[in-house]
Amino acid sequence: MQRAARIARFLPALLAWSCCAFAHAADVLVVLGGDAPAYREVAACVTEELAQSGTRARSVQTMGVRELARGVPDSRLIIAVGTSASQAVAAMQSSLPVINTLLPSSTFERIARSQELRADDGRFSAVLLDQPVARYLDLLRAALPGRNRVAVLLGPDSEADLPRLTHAAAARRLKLITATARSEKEIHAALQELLAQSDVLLTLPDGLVSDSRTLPYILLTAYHARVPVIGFSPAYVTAGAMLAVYSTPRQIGCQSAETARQVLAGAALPPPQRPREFEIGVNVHVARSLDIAIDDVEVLRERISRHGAKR
Amino acid sequence: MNAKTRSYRRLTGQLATSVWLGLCPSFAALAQSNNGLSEADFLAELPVVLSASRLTQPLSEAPGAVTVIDRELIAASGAREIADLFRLVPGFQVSYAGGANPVVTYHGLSGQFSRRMQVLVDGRSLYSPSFVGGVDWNHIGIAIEDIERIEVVRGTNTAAYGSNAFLGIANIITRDAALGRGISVGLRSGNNGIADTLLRVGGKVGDADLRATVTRRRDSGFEAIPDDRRASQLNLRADWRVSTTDDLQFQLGLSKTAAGTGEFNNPGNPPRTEENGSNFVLAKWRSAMGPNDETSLLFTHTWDSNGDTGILVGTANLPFVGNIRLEADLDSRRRSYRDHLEFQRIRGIDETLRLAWGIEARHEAVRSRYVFGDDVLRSATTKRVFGNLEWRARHNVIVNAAAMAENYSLTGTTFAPRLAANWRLTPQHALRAAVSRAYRTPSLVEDDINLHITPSRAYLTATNARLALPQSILALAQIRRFRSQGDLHPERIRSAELGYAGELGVLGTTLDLRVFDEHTEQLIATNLLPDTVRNRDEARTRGLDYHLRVRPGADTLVVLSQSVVRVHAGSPDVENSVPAHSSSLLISHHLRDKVDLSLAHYWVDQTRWLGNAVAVPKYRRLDLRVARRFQWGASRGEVALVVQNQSDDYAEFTDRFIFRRRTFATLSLEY
Repeated sequence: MQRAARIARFLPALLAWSCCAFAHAADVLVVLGGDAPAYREVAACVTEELAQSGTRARSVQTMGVRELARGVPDSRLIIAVGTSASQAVAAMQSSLPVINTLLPSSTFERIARSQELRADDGRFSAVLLDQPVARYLDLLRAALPGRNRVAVLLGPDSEADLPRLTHAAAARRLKLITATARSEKEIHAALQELLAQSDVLLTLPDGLVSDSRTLPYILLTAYHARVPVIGFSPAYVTAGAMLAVYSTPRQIGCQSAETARQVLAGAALPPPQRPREFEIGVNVHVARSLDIAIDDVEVLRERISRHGAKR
Repeated sequence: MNAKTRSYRRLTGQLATSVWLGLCPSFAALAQSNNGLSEADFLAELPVVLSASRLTQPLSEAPGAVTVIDRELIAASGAREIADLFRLVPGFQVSYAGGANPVVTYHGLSGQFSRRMQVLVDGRSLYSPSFVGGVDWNHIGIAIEDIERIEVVRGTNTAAYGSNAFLGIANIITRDAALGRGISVGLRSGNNGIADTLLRVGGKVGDADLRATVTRRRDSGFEAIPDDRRASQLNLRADWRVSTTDDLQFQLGLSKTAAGTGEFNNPGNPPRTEENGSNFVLAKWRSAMGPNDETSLLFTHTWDSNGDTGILVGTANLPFVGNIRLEADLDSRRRSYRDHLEFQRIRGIDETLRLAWGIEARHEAVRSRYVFGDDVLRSATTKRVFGNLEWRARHNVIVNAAAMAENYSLTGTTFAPRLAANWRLTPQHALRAAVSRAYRTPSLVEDDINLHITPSRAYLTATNARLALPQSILALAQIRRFRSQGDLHPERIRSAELGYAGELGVLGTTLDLRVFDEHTEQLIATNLLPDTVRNRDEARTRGLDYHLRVRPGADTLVVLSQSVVRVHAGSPDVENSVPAHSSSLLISHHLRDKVDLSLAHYWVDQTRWLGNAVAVPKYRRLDLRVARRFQWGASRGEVALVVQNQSDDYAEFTDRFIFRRRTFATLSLEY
């Protein structure tokens, strides 16, 4: 414990040292897919968690995708943060175990397929950004009891979620109404039909349906139909969705760090995971305007956790 | 903590949020460089679509009684005219002073020109200086098919919308251009010469959504008068999302109407054609930093032209000369324009306080030899400062304090305050109390009208020989005359109301009820003898109106509106201009997702519109609509049949304008 505390004290120096190093041996190599603060948030959490781990501290080296081309330092495990990092690391065809993180599941599967990597061979896994679909339905049950007709507009990316969604809705006695759009034009026709039959609209991550270009159309149409929208990011709530459930980069980073620690301790690389920790966003202005009373976020979170535990 | 530290903390708080959201240009690059999803779809910022000005207050929190007419109601009503939609709003009267002249007013007090109600389309005021300060419903510049919703505030709302919102305000909100893609075609045909067409094209260019709507409408009006109408209109709208926080809206509208006016077999008012036109441009910038933090700037420019030309004929008997025929050249053309610039800021101060404030300037000008007797361009400027503070005093009490200071170049400065409190007794039931004082400033025409038509030629009836009478003698035989007394004061209203908004817990029923006591003073009368325009009337209007919506299932909607009004005024004209009772009932039902059935029934008590010698008797009107939706290849369509006034004939505006049954069919296709 004392040793961990000592290392934590020297953490900034340690970080600086690891960042400017080129080919030092480190337990974990973190490859960042970009400069945005979100990537650094993930790296910071990984570094902190592994440095402070109770039994044994681990060294972490962080680098960008471009530096990767100059040579891969020795390490025992790679954490690829974001889509471009995952692509670059997958292209290396390294024999090291890789935890891909801060990327959507459909993208992870695409990268794995393109490199003929299999998530179950114990070398290529992920901590994904997408929430378990059941969590959206738990949020709906917790926040809007009585609204049982759930519309979901699916697209090419989110289509794969349909079986899970159907199962989760049936388990919660919710009526699921879905339509699949393959083009922007189909979104328009499908949405009108969906909204006429439902009392809440769930949007799932999808390159076509939840794109920022289609967003104004979806939010305005749903609002005029007085149907609240549940989204998957804090920006969705700011934009006009009434509710959202999402995980922060930090939560994703910490979950990745925990997985890394287990692997370093000798455990097998687990299959791809969805986020365990989550946040709930509520747009009180939209809720007020639709005259819907929403409980406090902590109450909702507690209810969702309880639902999750029961299942 | 001093103010500086506080603002610094707020700033760092905002920065922290930004950092946390991971906003960085690299996300945008990432989103563009990859097909399919990336982390950018979860982490990047998105435009604030539902910002404060787009979110309507729920009835239980609104400072006044609000009736909303949405697309569902518009379709179910079968209405062809936007004005007819107001029949569904309690307390409103709709009539036709000629087939091409719809009139809409709240609680009467109106003749051919309804001057005491404000109508806004996307923030653009329809107040027309060359229309005596009323609304020319033929030229509102948009198609009924492009309306998203109409929010009608029953009761004075000058504190928020300026002096034209003296008795009420209607906010017409058109569809965002993002909501109508592809090509739509609409055809309508029926008896009474009804022949309408619509073409709408919507698309996307870069980050901008565009829409163009062209309509042409024709009908024959009433049988008793030559009021055939041909109207055409073009509306262009572009919504351009500049960034995640900012968007720009542009609109352009061009409209033209040729409408018959005058009377059959009356040489003094012969059939002729009035050529009216109205064009506008609108530009609006909106910046939304969050759902409760919005800034907007609106500019509109409108130019109108109205009028007709013709020869009016009168007869006179001169001693020693015999019967003579007098001819006057009529040229009633008016030209006017108006500019309007408005800045508005809406901001949540903390959890319990929200402030909306703004400044506004308008400039209007009108030129008409017919109305003013000379060719001088008359103009007026209005400057306004307004604010509304919403305070959530307790979890179930909301107080709205609003005020507007307005300076009008013709009458000086007025101050219109309003105070309203809403108390939510239970989650389902809320009470409201509001008091306000407001003013309506006289229009340029009211202020300075000097209208007289004098004959310019005289003929002997027997021989048709022209008489060489001097102009001074001819001028004695004025055919029409109106003159403003000048020095007009703003009209005044003091209003108090109690309201209820709630859910009744059975069959999805909601009720919005308003009990009111309105005291109007210094009303500007235009129908006086000798024809002088001056501040004269006052009225005490008391009563209640309500709007009840029942939704027993997803496929059925019942809307009942009713109004009971009692007026005490010095003048019987004023008292008779308000119907004591009026009601409307709309029932709509969807059958098997494809067929829509609806009926609308209206009851209106006897009304004598201002300026009319006779009252319109009490009437009932039943409208029916049946529609069938279909899919035809990749396109969707609808055929509908509408019967207006299935019941007996009734009179509109005067006893001579008989509204007979009108039947028309519509076909619409969307590709």
